[in-house]
Amino acid sequence: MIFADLLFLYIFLPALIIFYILAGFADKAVCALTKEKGFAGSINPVKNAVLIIFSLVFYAWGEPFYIRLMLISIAVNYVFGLLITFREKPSKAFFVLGIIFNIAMIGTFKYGRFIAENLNALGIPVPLPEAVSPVGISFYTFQSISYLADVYRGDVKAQKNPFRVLLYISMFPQLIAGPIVRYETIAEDICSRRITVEDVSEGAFRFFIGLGKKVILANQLSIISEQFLDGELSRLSVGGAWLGIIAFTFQIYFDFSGYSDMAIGMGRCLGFRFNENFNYPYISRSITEFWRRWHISLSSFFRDYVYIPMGGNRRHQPLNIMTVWLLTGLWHGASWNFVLWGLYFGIIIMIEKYTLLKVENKIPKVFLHIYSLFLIVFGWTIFYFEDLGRLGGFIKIMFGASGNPAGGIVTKNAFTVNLYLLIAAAVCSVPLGTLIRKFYGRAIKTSGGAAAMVIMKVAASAGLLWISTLLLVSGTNNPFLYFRF
Amino acid sequence: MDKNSQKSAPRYAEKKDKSSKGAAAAYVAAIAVIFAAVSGAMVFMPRSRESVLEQRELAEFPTYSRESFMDGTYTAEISHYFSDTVPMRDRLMEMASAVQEFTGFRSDDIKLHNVTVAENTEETSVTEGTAPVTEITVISNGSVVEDTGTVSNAETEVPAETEAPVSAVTQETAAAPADDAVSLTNNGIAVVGTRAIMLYGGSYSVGEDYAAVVEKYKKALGDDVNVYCMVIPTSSEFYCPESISSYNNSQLDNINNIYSHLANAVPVDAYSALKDHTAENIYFRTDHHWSSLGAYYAAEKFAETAGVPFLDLSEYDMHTVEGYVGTMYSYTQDITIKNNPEDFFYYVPKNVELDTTYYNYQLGDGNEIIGMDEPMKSTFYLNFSNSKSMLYCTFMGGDAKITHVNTSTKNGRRLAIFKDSYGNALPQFLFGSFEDIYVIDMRYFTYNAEDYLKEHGITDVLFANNAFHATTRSTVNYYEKLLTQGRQPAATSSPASSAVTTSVPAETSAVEKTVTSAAEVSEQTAETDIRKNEE
Repeated sequence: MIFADLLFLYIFLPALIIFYILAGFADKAVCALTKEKGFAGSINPVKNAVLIIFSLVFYAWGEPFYIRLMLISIAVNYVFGLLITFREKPSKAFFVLGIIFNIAMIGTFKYGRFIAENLNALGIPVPLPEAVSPVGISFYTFQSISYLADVYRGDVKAQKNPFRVLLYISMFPQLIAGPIVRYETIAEDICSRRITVEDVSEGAFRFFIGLGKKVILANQLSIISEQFLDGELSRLSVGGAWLGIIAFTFQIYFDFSGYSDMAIGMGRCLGFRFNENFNYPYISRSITEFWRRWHISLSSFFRDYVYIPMGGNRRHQPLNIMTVWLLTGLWHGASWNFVLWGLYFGIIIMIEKYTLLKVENKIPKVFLHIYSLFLIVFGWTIFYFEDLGRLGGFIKIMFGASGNPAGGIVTKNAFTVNLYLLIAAAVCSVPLGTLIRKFYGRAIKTSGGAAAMVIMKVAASAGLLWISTLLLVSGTNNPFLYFRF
Repeated sequence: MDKNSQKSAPRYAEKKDKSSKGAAAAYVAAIAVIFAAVSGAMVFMPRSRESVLEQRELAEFPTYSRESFMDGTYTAEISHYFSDTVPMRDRLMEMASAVQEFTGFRSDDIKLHNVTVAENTEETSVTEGTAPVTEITVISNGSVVEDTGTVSNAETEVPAETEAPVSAVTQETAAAPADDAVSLTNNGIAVVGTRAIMLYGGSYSVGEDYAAVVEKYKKALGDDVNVYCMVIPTSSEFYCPESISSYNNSQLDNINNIYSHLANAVPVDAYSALKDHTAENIYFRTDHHWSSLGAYYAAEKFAETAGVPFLDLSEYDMHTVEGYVGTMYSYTQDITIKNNPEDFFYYVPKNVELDTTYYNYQLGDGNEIIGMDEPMKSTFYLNFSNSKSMLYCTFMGGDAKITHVNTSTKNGRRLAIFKDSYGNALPQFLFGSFEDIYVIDMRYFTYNAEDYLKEHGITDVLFANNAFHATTRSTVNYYEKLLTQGRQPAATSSPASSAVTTSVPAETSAVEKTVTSAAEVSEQTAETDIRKNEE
């Protein structure tokens, strides 16, 4: 299942809400009972059970076969968590075995075909496995790795209750498209969470924002990007190439960050607090900054579990940086363009370290923005084209090296009929929300302001829900980009 | 990079003051009511069964099987069912089209739909043999309306041809090789003002083959039978603005090229007949077809060419149905089209009596022929005023049939028309010109054409295809097939014989597969995306 889908919105979610509320009452009764008997367990076991069942249905809906792979993975990681801390001193052997298991699993199911293809290309004949790449495998494998690492380091205790590990890994809001939630972030919430009305209010609003980003902005933008990026390159104009890739630049941001917003919002409503995953990446003044603002849960994963353990900036830093970026690229897909894309950013960040970052304050901001946006947009070009031949052809067109015309009526028409959409995308890429939030926070404290602010917030939410629903019904376009990863 | 930033990343500030709590409660209550109302409507309101707008029956709830569950198709189909059959679907789609209009503005009053990204030049567009490959697979032969056949609320005396739902995407039964399935001859649709025009991308080489196959018919039929070839231009030829003309190949050039390759078949210059009347309503603005008036001028030219009498327009009663919004709205979902309906009109001769017999084909899921009904008598004009988007079916109720009209005109001339849907509007003006008229759709005919024509004593054969079809490979393939198929004596005489059910479906269903997969690439709906993604 995916979030931006009518069945999810209007059957799955309402059913979950009803059962979750009922589970709340059940939990109170259970707690009263256990207190009497003197047990001190989780205060929300029934809620957890409801959430696990809905999460498994959610996953099985889209991946009815490979759900067993996820369940096996969770079971194995649960056992490794216990084995690592079986003795007083954490067991390095079991930790390494656990990591190997996770890497072998993702290597087989996500990269098996890619590896075999490349071996064949090198002249080593191996049979080509089917490309399966079960949904969410990149996310849940990484969560498992972070769990084992945190347990090994002693940052968290291994969870003895297997259902809590199951809930941590399979919890549906973050299951198939992140953010990559660390166990310690929600360990407490799993056994004892309290949900306030502010949580539900914040969470629900966040969800509508995310839905709007995904359905109203990303899906509509994808019509432009598909029109210009998926066609015959020989017939593409320079202007069309730029229009297409700029539309994609906005599309992927609103697609992914909208999905993260929905995940964070739903998590909040359910009583969990996930960390932020995006922080207005397109206002960055350097690529280094961009990667602190883009897919934060992934870059911090690589920082904490690869970069720093390898030695960070203390030894062979260039090697550490390039390893992290090679892996970052590969994580996004089993294809050479993603490797290229990762190395592209690795090299830029390394160069920035010795040049730009040292003189950043002396350069006018506007140049820094132009510099960053240019490299980001160019990065998405590498990201978009899995076929390296097409990638080369497209880059030539972008820079006018192919003799294709500069523009034409089709580009002009696509530009004008989507101009307001593009403007809206640009406006939503800057921290307008922060400003509004500040204004809202102040206005709500005044006597007349509160009612007006609430009415506006309700109207905005209802509007986003309604327009998103209409567009989902018309449904000409609803690809979810991050499923590939 | 410091390690603690993840752990101590700022969480939401804990606000505990009363006012924000009250505001939050009010917001949550309001949102809960709204969400519950919309969810209730989505779940409990009656589901849509068919879309008049898209002219198809909507998805049905899938049947469970272990395999379909395990490979994910069962659940994907449920999701698809739920969004496809959403209550009040057409109304919501219309509102969505209106919302999408806010994404920008139309410069020069033009909006292009699915126009290939080519900023192409004259040279590339008319190059021999390079039909620009378009991303739209449904459109060019424009048979969505007619192919559908089954419309539950259509007041028609013709029995429904099939119970099977028809998918808009997969209904082209192009008898073309796999590679050809997507290379149809259109370049997309431009909405210019309130008129939608399908941009033409035909190519010379196919046109030459079209001329060749017409010649084959002439050769097979011999000197006693007149064979005419009328290639009908479409609206893009006359109403395409200069600014987008580079996406719109010249139909005149292609038509002239076809005519120049005819030797014994006689060309019918419908082009000049239409060109003289472009100020009149000779084409629909909201539909890809020509109007009855356009057909009148073309029929007049044909009658002149064939040397048969021709009834003046004053000899007809004109019937008008208001509020017609044709296929172009479902293709483009352009709200401008929806908001500017037009009149559908047709002509019934005052003083000619008609005896119309239909030989309806039964179609399978993939629109392949699976059988044939018993012949049935009915009227030539059928009432579609209750499903206005299908008004063009007024003529004979669609395409999947052979229609025989015996008229009160007695002059010994017996006409067979081989046609696509453009041809459906022609017979109304020829009832005073021929004694018998057989209307044969190139896609739905299971007899051997030569045997059939000879057996029915045909004196005149008219090929009436629009310029798109005349330069589309599958058209040529259809006509080739009609000449060679069903040579066994049994198949020619008895309708609904085993030849109908055995030979044709096997072939068409194989083609169907390729069309579907090609369509998957280009015509992705939300649902197919979900299915792909979740697999």
